[in-house]
Amino acid sequence: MPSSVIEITVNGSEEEFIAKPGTTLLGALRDTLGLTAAKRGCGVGTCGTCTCHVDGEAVMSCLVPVETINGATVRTLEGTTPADGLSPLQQAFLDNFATQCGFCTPGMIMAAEALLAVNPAPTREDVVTAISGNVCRCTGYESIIEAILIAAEATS
Amino acid sequence: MLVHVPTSVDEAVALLDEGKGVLVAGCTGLYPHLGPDQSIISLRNAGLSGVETDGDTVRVGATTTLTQLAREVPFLRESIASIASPTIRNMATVGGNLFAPQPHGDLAVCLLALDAQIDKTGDVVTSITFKVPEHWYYTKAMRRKQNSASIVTVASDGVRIALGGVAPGPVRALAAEAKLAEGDIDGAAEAALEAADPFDDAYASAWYRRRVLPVHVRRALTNAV
Repeated sequence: MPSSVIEITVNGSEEEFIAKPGTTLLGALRDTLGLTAAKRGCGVGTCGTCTCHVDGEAVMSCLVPVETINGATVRTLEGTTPADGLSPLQQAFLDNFATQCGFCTPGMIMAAEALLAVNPAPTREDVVTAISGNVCRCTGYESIIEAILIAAEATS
Repeated sequence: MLVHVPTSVDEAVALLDEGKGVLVAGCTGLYPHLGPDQSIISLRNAGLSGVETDGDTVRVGATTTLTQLAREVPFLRESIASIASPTIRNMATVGGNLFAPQPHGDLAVCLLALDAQIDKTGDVVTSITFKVPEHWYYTKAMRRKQNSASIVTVASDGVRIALGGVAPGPVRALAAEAKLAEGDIDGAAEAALEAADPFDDAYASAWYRRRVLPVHVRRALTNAV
C-alpha cells in the first residue's frame, strides 16, 4: 500500500501532507508539521504527554493512526497559545509552579483544556479525574491540580 | 504496517477474511503492541458507532467509545469511570473491551452480568444489546483510586454475578448466584471462590486476589449503584 495523502485541520489551518502507512498522529504533528509541543513518552497510551484534541475530544495522539482520522479537526498545545502572551492555563501553570522539567506540561494542559471546555467550574475531584491519564514525575501533581483550579476560577 | 480504513462492515469482513490485518477500533489495547510488519483494519469509519435505546433495551454499536456509552447509559457511568482515564475512554470502544485481556476489560464483566447479546457479521462484532437492570451493583478493587487495572471486579444485577481480575477471562459466579437467590449474601461471597482461577501479575498475587474476592463480592452486593 502506498503512502497516502492526509488532509486534516490543525489549529485552524488546513494541512495536506503525505504520510507513510502506519504514521501516528503524533508522528505527523512532530515530524511532518513541525508541531513539537506534543511529546512521545511511553508510546502505548499510559503517560499522556502526547494528548491532543481530535474533533474536540482529548486523545492520546501516539495511538491514532493518522490514516484513520482523515478530515478530522485537530488541536494541539500550539493552538491554545494566543498570538500575544499565554493562555489562562499556561499562565496559571507558570504562576503556580506547576511545571518543572516540562515534559508532561503539554499533555496536562490539553487534558485540562478538554475538561474546562465542558466543565468550566470543575471540582478538585473533576480535575484529578481529568488528568488521571497523565503522568508527572516532578511535581507530585498538587501544583498542577491547583493551577487548573485557579485557571478555571480566573476564566469562569 | 498497512492501515486499512474500511467504510462499511462488509468491506471490513472482506479485508479480515483476506487476512489483510488485525481488527482494531479505538487502538488502545492491541495496537500499541503490534510490530511494524503487522497491519491493521480500523473499524473507525465502518459506521458501527452509536447507542439506541428502546424502552429498557439498549443496543450499543461496537465502536461506540466508553465515553459515549457513559453519556448515554447512566446506570453504567460509575462502572465505566473505573476503567482507564478519560483520555483513553474517549478512544477505547465497547466492542474492543470484549477482547481486552484480564485484568483489563471491566466493561466485559458488566456485559456478562447483564447477559448482553453480541451481534456479529462474519467475525466482526457489530453491536451489543442488553436490558437496563432494575438494580446494579459494581465494585472494582484497584491499586489506586483511578486508572488502574483490576485486582477484583464484581458486577451484578442482583441475580447474575460476574467477576473480573480473578480468572483468565470474565466469569459468571454460578454458585454465588445460587446463594444470592436464597438471599444469602455472606454465602454468595464465599461461593464466589468456586469461580475463581486467579493469576499473579504486577497488580496483585493470585493469593491476594483469592483472599479479598469474598470481601469485594459482599461489598458489591450490599452497595447498589
